Amino acid sequence: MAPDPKLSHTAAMILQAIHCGYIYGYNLMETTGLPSGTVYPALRRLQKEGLIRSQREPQSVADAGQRPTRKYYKLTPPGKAALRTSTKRYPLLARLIPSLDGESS
Amino acid sequence: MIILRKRDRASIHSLILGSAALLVPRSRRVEWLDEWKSELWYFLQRPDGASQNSLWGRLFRDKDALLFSLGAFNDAMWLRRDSCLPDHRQNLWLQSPVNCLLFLAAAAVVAISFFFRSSGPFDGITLASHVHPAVVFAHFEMLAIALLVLPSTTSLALGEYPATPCSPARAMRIRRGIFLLIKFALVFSIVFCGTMDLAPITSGPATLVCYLFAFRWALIDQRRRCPVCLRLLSNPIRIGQPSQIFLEWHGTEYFCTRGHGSLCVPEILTTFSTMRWFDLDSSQPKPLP
Repeated sequence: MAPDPKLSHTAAMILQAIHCGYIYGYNLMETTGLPSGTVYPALRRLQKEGLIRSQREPQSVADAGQRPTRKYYKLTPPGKAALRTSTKRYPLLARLIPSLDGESS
Repeated sequence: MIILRKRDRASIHSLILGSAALLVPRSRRVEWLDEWKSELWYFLQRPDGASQNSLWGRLFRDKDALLFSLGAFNDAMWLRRDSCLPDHRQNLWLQSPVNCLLFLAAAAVVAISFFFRSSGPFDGITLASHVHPAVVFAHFEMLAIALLVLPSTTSLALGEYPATPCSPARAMRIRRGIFLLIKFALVFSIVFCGTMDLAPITSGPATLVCYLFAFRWALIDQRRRCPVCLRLLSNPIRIGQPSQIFLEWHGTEYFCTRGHGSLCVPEILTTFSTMRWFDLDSSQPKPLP
């Protein structure tokens, strides 16, 4: 991975959304307004570049809620660093994605 | 009746996801399909409010779900491409403009050396027959036709690069032009010498097609390069949906790996919708608060 990865606006927006607490694929789609055909491949690419990591929730949790298991995404330390750089590059990014807990990110 | 319609809808989504899954590498297919089925389940469970029960609400819901499922094809294609190129970094050296020119120059040297050979695998082909005026004239006829047909195969425009405080300096623009000229010259040498070498087994139309492909590649390659560092842009991200082409921008966004900017390429190039470059240099002025 490059020491200082440069991200496109779309990729930075997805990272920002994950940072704000939208950790599921469908949530990310709704929050960013991007179609599924953009979000899921972008998530795979970000994961391949080591900026995010994914994990499936335990089957027992999903069974208890009578729903399928979900895959959730988290920023890795390089991902957080890339997001910081991108926020400087795209200053309006933080305003585009509202934080889930209502705080400004 | 309603149950049947729900089943029909479910089967349509399953059919779409199942079709897309065929594109996914076999080793990851089951996991990929489970993941998408799970995401679709959550998509269908989303609260829609009062509109959920109305006819229009249901229609929009079905349409959205259909678009969501169709997005699986993009994801599947990404995985397929990713598996075909196990390590993208192996191809990174081709991104460099110097390496690109070196590669073309090497190919041109090979083609020219064959052109000037005294004899070759095709007996009777000599330098004398190459430079016969009739042969050369016919060849240049094909070249002229190729140049006339070229605009119908690809746009001749090299993209829109709005002038900003961080736009490339004039020297860089000249360098970009020189790069294109050298590329054209090398490509011409390769095709000219190559098709002359193979004249006994190629025809005029084959020469025409070779010129068309070569010039088309040179133009497309030029457009996909960063105007600052001339490296090939990467990390393509598709934005928008083909079905909403009249409502929103639809195309692909490329990015310079060195962070000079991004290039937005519309899916359909028109006179009013051309490729647009956005500078992202660190010296870019900050927007107003």
